[in-house]
Amino acid sequence: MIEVKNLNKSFGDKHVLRNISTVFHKGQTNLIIGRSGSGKTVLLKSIVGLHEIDSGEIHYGDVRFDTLNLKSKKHLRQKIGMLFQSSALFDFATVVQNVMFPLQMFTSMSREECLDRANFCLKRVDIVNSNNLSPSEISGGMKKRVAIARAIALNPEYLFCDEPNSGLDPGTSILIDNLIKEITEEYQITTIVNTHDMNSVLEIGDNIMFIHEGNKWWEGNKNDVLHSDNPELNDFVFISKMAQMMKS
Amino acid sequence: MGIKNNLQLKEFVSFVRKEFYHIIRDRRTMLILLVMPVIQIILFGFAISTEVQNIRLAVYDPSNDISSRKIIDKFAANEYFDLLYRLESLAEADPLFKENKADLLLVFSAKFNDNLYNSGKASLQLIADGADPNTATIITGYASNILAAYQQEIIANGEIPYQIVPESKLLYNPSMKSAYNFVPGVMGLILMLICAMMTSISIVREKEQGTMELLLASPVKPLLIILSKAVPYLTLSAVNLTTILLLSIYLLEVPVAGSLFWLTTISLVFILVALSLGLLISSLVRTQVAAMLASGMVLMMPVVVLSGMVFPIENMPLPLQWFSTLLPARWYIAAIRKVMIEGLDIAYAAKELGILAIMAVVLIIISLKKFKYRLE
Ligand SMILES: Nc1ncnc2c1ncn2[C@@H]1O[C@H](COP(=O)(O)OP(=O)(O)OP(=O)(O)O)[C@@H](O)[C@H]1O
Ligand SMILES: [Mg+2]
Repeated sequence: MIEVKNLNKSFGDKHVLRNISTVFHKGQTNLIIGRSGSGKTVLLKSIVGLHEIDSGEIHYGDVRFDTLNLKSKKHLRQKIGMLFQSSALFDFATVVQNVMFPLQMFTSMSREECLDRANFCLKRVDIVNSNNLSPSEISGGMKKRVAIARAIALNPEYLFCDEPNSGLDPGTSILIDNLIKEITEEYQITTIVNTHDMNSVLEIGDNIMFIHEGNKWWEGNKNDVLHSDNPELNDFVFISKMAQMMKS
Repeated sequence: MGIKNNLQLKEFVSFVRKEFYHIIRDRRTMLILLVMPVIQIILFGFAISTEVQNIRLAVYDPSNDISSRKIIDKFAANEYFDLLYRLESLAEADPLFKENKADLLLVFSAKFNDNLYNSGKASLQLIADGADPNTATIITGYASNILAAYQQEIIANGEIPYQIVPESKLLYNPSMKSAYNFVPGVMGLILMLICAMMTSISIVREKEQGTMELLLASPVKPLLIILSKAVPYLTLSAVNLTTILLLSIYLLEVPVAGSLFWLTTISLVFILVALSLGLLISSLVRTQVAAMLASGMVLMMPVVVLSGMVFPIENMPLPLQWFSTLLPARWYIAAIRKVMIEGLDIAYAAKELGILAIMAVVLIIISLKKFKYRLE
């Protein structure tokens, strides 16, 4: 479980996040949705500690994260897996080397053990027989899956995904979404996913927070999201829902 | 505790290995980095050896006394000069230069010997064709060296306490003499290029690809990320330094006259400066192209133009001379010249080394501060 209390973040005099408080639950996919520029990425990065926050509190379980010293942060970060918008694979390394990297870095496992674990994770995301390809030789969807395999390699308790299906076709997006959801439930991970894709919202939104101009504007789940009376949320939802309605 | 240190070492080793992979996988870049110093040395070597030989000398000596004749003999005996013309009047000089038949004209004043021993100052003009200022500078530099040597000789013989004042019509730069000048310059350039440009590009590249954030959000210490970036380029620089020195000794026949230890030490300090400059650039720009332009424009150009590598600093307008004191390469090149080429004791390069060390400390502090592990 991750809890955020009264979080504020600004860049210069640009107030990006305003007094955000919420809880992200364990074993659920917690979505942060909102328009482009609303502050989703900044919120996610603040939670992982890539941005220094102005005020507020961030709790990982019982541990208050934002005031930790570097050493204790390091300990906690071992339990965090990350998936970035760009996949962020090392382009000089092969698929399997990418997944082995965190294992070789942060565990005392032998090479064989690392390789076993990497193969297990790759198999979990349905990447087989591609171990020795380089990231430039695989498709965008495969890259995402390799990045997920790398993110879960260390058995994380927390998983952060920033727009995991940007740049993917709808079919592949759903595959990735479901993969994230399955893994989250299987390993009881606290997962936070940034997205502005309504498909994902309706597919995997156990817990949804809608951000509007840096404010928490609405909170609920995938069953409520179509029936709210919040005008900004409806603006956001309905633009995409048109496509939904046409499909059905 | 022991286990923990082991893990940290392991982290560091895997990180350094990752950086090496990075470089090695990009074969073309690595090849360029390794071959570049060779090409530069060879190019400069050629440029120099064609410039300075067979200087066609004309002499106008109205005094024709013992001193002026001795000096003329020195020139005639020098392998670089061919004494072709003895002029009867100064009017003959003009057509020689116009028809490009002479490179340097030596003009003695009347009563050269008398002036030298009595008034203490004998004047001598060196006139070179300014169409090619670089060559002209080199030629007058040579001539001045010959004169200086002659002067040393007569002082050593205890003959006079006085001076010959060579008054050159073109800019005079005693150190602008040969390959001796370029080797330290090429060293400065290559080290700056590899350490600053490559470090900044490699960090910015990770920023562009998003892997830097991944690393920064991981348990790795930010300092470790930086250090592991530095190690491969440090290694590459060491290889290049060795190549340059070997080429310079065996191809250009420029020996290491001074202490190899101090040469290495000075280079290490300079490498630190360049690495932290690279780090600083990487935290100021967002794209690889910008990193390349920034290091190219901000670091390389001034190094080539202002550090005394190609154009003598003494000849620059004052504001540029002041500006050049800000360039680490200027001090590096000066120090290397003294220690490696002139074979001077480190004490003579203490000022340069001190300045470089201060620059290194200041830049390391600034760049580490700038490279905040939160990517704001
Ligand atoms: N490092 C930064 N410095 C200054 N401003 C920033 C920085 N990062 C983000 N911002 C600003 O904060 C605001 C929110 O950006 P953010 O990236 O969180 O949007 P987002 O909701 O993730 O959008 P998208 O869906 O397009 O990814 C934007 O106005 C952006 O310009
Ligand atoms: Mg975003």
